[in-house]
Amino acid sequence: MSPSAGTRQPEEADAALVQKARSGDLESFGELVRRHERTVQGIVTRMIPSPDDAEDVVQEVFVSAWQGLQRFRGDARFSTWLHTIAVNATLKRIRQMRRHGQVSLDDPESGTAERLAADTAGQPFEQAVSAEEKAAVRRALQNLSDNHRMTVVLYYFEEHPCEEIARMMGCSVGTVWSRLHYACKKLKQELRDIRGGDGAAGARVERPDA
Amino acid sequence: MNCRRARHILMQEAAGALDEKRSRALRGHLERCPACAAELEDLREAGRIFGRARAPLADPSPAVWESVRERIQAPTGRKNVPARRPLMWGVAASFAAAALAIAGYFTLGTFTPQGGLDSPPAALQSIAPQEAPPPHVREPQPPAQSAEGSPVTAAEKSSLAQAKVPAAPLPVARRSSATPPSRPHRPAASRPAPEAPPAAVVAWSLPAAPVTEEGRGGYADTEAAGTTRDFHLRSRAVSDHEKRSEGLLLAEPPGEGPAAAWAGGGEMSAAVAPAPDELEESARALEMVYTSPDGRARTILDY
Repeated sequence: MSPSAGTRQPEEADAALVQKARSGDLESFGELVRRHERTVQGIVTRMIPSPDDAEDVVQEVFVSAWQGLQRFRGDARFSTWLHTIAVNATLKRIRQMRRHGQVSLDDPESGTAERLAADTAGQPFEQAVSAEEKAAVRRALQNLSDNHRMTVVLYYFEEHPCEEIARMMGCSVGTVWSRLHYACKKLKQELRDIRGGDGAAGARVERPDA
Repeated sequence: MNCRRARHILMQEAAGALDEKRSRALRGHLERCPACAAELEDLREAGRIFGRARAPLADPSPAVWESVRERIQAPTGRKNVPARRPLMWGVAASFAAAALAIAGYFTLGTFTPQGGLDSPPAALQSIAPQEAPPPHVREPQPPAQSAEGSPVTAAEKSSLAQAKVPAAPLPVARRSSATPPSRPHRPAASRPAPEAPPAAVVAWSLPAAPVTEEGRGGYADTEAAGTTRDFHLRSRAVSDHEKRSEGLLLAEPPGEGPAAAWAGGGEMSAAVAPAPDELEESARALEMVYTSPDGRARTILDY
């Protein structure tokens, strides 16, 4: 598991930019935005299907970070702090959208899962994913809760270490592993259904102890 | 090692993240247990597929910083330097303690200490589903109703009682500007909305006192809900909360909070709501609802 692009960035450089930004230097904050926009966008856009909403949330994350910069005390990495804001803003927006009936992330037509598990054909840097694997991933992601889906996104797609995911999601590391375990079981079950020709949409994954 | 313990660490083994000692112990179990060994293989395969299924992202929009700068500098924005707001950690901590106590209260009331990670939160499933029709006003229910039959010890009750009332008078603080920053692209979806009702509610009174936006406290409670089976975790979690809450409070739209109403006193209630997925153990949400003296209810926190 390689660290994300955000965590590879020199923390010292971030810290210096944060210091300047805290004193009101907008350009330094702009540099922080440029350094971290990829990872923030990764978290947000893999979770929110609507490009407009995703873009709005990304902006909101950075505006919130600017407004709260004085509260960042430097005892965590800036990237972790920023990603925590991104995770929470994303989950919050998803809940708001669902409440408003704007979009169902469980809707196969919404495209979220499609985007999460994109067709990687023609992407030489990605390993091939078979059609049945793709379908299983899509179905599994559709049937996961927001928190499970976010955990999968952060771990497998954004490649954050579990310890960081725990910090970002405000849960224990054990909970992160537990969510990954559940998500993997779900995927395997979907794969089994597809391979077995049993495409029952209502197929459930048994709990490990059940 | 038995199956139950083995399955707690199977995912870590599948991801190659288990330390050597535990990995060796697990392998000893797997040699004797084909079911756990098969599950480990399932997890490994699923992990490989998830890892391959990652979609490449489009390049970041070049307009991100321009849009962010525009929002920051918009005339209706707060200011063009980072907000230096007074941090009311005393107040936040009071509510954090209350939140944790409440979460722990329900956790203890619904889980047995022996429940383990994989035990279904059966009692939680009896809490009203989130999809229930949203009421306009939510009436706080007495704690006794939700605590009925809960194995809460005297010490825990004492802790809860302390949490119900802020430990210290709410500090008088300057009210932050209620003007939200300009959000030119903000869709209707971000407006406050009526929400699903909590089923189990603890209520406590708030003194009439000026409170800044930061004073509303409360936070996404996944940590507390997921880990407060052990009540000793509470104090540690409170201090952790101070770090995490920064991001969480920041995620709240400034200016849309209930600070103004709160300053007039009223009732506060909180509830641990179930997660949408009945098998999700740690994502239960803590909702804190402020009911002003004239009976209007507003959700303080909707995680």
